[in-house]
Amino acid sequence: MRHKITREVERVDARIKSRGELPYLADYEFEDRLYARVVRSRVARGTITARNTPALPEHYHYITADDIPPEGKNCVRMIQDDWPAFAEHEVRYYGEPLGLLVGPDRDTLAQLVEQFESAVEYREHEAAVTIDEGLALKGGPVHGSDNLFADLHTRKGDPEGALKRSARVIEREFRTAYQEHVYIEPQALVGTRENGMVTIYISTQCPFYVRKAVSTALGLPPDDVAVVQTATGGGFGGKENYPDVVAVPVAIAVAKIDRPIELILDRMEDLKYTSKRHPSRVRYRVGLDETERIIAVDVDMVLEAGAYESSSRVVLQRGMFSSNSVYEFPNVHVRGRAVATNNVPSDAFRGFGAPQGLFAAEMLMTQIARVIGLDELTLKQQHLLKQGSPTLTNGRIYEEVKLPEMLEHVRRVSGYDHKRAAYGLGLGRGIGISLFKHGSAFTGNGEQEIIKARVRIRKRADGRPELLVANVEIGQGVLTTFRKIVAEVLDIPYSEVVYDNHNTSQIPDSGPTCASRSVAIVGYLLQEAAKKLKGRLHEPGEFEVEQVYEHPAHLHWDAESLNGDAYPSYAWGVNCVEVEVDRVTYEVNVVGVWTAYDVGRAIDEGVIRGQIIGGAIQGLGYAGLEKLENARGRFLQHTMADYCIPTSLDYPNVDYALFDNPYPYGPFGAKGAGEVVFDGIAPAFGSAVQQAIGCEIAQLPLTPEYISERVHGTDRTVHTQRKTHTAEPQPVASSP
Amino acid sequence: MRRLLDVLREDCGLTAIKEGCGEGECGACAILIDGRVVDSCILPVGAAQGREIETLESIRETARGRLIVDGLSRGGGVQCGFCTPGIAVTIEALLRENPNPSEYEIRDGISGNLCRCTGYQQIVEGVLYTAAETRERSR
Amino acid sequence: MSAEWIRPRTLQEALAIRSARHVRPLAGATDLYVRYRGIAGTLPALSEAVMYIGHLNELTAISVHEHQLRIGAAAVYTDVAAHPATPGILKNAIAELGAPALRNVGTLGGNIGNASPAADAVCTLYALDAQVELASLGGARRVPIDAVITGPGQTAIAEDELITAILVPLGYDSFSFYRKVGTRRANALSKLAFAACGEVEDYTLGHLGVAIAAVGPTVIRSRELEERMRGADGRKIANLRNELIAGYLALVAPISDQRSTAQYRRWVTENLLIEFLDRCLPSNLNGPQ
Repeated sequence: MRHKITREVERVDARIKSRGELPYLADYEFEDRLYARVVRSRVARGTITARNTPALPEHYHYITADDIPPEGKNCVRMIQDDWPAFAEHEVRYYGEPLGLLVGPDRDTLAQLVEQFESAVEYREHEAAVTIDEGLALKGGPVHGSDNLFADLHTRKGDPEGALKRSARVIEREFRTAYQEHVYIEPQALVGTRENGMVTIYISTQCPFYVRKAVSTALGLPPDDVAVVQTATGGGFGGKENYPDVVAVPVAIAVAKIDRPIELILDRMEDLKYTSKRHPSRVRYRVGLDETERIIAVDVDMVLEAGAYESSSRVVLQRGMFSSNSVYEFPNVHVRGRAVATNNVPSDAFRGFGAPQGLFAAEMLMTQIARVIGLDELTLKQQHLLKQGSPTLTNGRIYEEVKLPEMLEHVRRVSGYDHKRAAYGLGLGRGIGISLFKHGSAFTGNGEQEIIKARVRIRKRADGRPELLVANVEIGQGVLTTFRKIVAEVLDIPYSEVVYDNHNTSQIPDSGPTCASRSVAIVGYLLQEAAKKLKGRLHEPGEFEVEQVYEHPAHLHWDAESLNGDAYPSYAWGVNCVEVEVDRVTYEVNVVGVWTAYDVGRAIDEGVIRGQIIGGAIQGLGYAGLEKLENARGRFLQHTMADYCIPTSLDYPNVDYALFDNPYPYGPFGAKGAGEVVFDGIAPAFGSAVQQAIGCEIAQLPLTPEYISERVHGTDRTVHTQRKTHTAEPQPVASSP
Repeated sequence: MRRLLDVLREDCGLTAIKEGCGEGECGACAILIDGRVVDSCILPVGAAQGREIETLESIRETARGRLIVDGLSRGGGVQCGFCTPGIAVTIEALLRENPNPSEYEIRDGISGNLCRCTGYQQIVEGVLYTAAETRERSR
Repeated sequence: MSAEWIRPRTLQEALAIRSARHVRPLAGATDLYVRYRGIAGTLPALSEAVMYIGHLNELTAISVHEHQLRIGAAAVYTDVAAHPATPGILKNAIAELGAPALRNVGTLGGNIGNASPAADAVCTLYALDAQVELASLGGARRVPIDAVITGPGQTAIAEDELITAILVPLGYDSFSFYRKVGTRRANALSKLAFAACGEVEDYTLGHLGVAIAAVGPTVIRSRELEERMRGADGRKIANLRNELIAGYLALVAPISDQRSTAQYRRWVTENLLIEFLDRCLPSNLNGPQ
């Protein structure tokens, strides 16, 4: 029996959006608006030797670091202050902002950008643009002395000793590439001054991040800056930190020019210069005992962070903590490094490090199974986490783990067992299953130490409750789910709940819209706040109730040693993908996608279905389609024609099932759902492709080009070193 | 020569038309010219001279336009919404040509409209609903 | 700066303008308005005067004359595909080209004028032995498609000429084989495309055209290799197979670019040749086995 809250309702914003009546940033009118364009570096790494700033026509402005108020700071504050708003002497990546041109006419601005950019002279330095080049300090360190923004370790048991006494050691390396968000609305904002305050209207996931970055750069108290989130046409992590990078230069310009200034990135700029998903290189050394049980796992994960730190340290942690997937190994060491390069900083993207770690871990398991001649799923089931299991950070799995029944379900509906056996090996057809989890909310002590979320509900004079929170709609349905949570507590129709204020001056900071935390963390706070309001809606006048985040008492975290409960709860998933690989063109045709999830309790099945299907298709794009290559610091695929995201014809319908598993600290039992739906697709796809082509794969994306190399045996990235005896090649599958 | 998109959005105030890519790839700027769907971001305004232009602003007020909105809204075909107006216009063109499209024909018909949120499935279901309702009501 | 926009009322006027001055002909704009596009909200960086010809009835008509399909250079793809006389292979190519919004404005004339080596619909025109009608005030000439496109972005079209029509001989496609390898399944640019069509009579191969796009500076077609296949029966094709594959592979010179790699293009070309020679031709020459 489904809980009432799970029953699908029509999203509150569906009609206004499908009628084209909801304004996005570009649809607003501002009186006396000026346009802005970013002047960018044309080298990936160099020292500016002469700016040769051309003369400006009347009514045009050129804003640079010199225009930052003395009390301000030339930085885009994220976790660190290392990313400058405008490069002054050194440039670290191609396209790095040098200045901002502001004026009334866009065509004139386009010509000025060309003049200004080509006038700058550089002493160019050798750029490091790949993980390997970054680690090798090519051209000298970009950052510090070792090019590492973070070099972290987490350890459980005695991995070194266990590796030594292993009967067999298997080594593998996996690499994943960039992914671009391609939110359909590009980065967009208007900065202006309202009521004396610098006010930023912006398409963003995190209005308080923008406020922090802008107030730091201008040297203002945060309360003296207002940020208003406008309807946001997709984010996926791409509007988590990057809006700060465009907002700070505009805010500096507004402080000086005092006119509304609009900056909307053209799609080509957006593709070339905004942050992408971190490329990764993950190496494993896995020790097995005489019974072929895995007793030791040593992981070396490197993420390519780009030129500045942004959120790489935290992405790295989630990647590290995902590198054992859903398995319990007794002895584990994970080293994680975020390496600096001369590329645009990598940053948040749905999954936030987990897709890289999970892809590597899940592919690793399929390849170990092959080496020891065991069925993939049998090996996985032998090591599955369960309730009470220790995690690799020495925390606990507190919740019931429903993976066995989810796996059973997916095997049944997909016909996995029969197909796996029938398709043979290397005969063009394959089917693969991945198991995975995604921790809801910020990693480690993020929620209790850094975010400290706060929500309020105002009882308005008209008797309606109004939600005052910082979380925003980016397509994931939060306008609907938050209303439903509060309405359910108050026993009123969800349409009665008001939730339309997205101005940082008028709402408390309930944290960013990311990390699968909105419903799980903030939704819970809203539920608790609503309980305080229960029975009081008829009271006269206006008043507010408040709820502040409290970390559940049973959770512990040591940020120094990365030990303890990395996440308060997990969403769990099982994905199955079936493919056919064309023997002529090596193209992969996805025949079927079956999924099962435990997201606690779904707040709205329609919203969750939207996440599941959308996440799966985006995940398939990551797995096999979306190729983004970097040559000397520049992205080769910088048009929508060349950076291909899935169309309606690329992939089939997605089957799904939800497994109810209420989480006590989630609203009505809900856990996060926005990212887990992305995480597991690539390894399921990878496993299916391995069966279809009859050889191991070791990278993403699995393009037809890469598959052709694997089939012809010319790819050299796949390592097959073994400590003891070399097993004869075994079928990827061994039939049950 | 200016792009038709800029003239319609900025001079005519027809802001249901969105600019997603500026290169005719994403379909957010879709409009109808002489009843056929076209990306207005890569069309010079001069190419529309003497031809009939329809945008979502008019389509949404028609009987089928309302059913297109229904179809997209009720089944989860809308998430961030930025691609949605272009998709609604494309659905109108598709259903004019083919009032009873198969799932494949729908997927083919909207293949020039990129949506990064939904994965398309719920949009396709919405079109099937709209087509069925339209046929039902015109009986 | 906004380039001048010229809108002739008739083809005759268009040809007069073309002979009098340098203008860039434009119909669907799907290529030029992408290639020269500026930043959102700005004018395309087209410095030349543009002459719009997409509205000229003389250029949009599609008609059949004596076993020949005449496709106006500015007929949009949607109309070309919908015409009952259009050969199946060209319909297939159009169905896989772009998306509806693009097919509603894009034209074969534009595709030929831009001379992209990756133009997939044009590839089928090679296989179909199509001719291009080029007109100027002085009259019209008909030139085989492979003589019109001379290199990437290069054509033999004179400064005073316009592409007025594409002439496709009918009845030469009793069998056809078309495969586009795109960057994705729809709305895709091609990594390569392979088009072949011809006639079979008495279990032997008659007229034949084989064209491969995006594996060289222009679409590749070899009359010499086709000549060796002409008159062949299934057995002879089987005997010639290795020579033919080697012959074609000697002609292709693929490059690596943002869409694919040279190696992949070479391998897939080889696979497609094998597919064509070992499966497509035998099944047409020998009948169902």
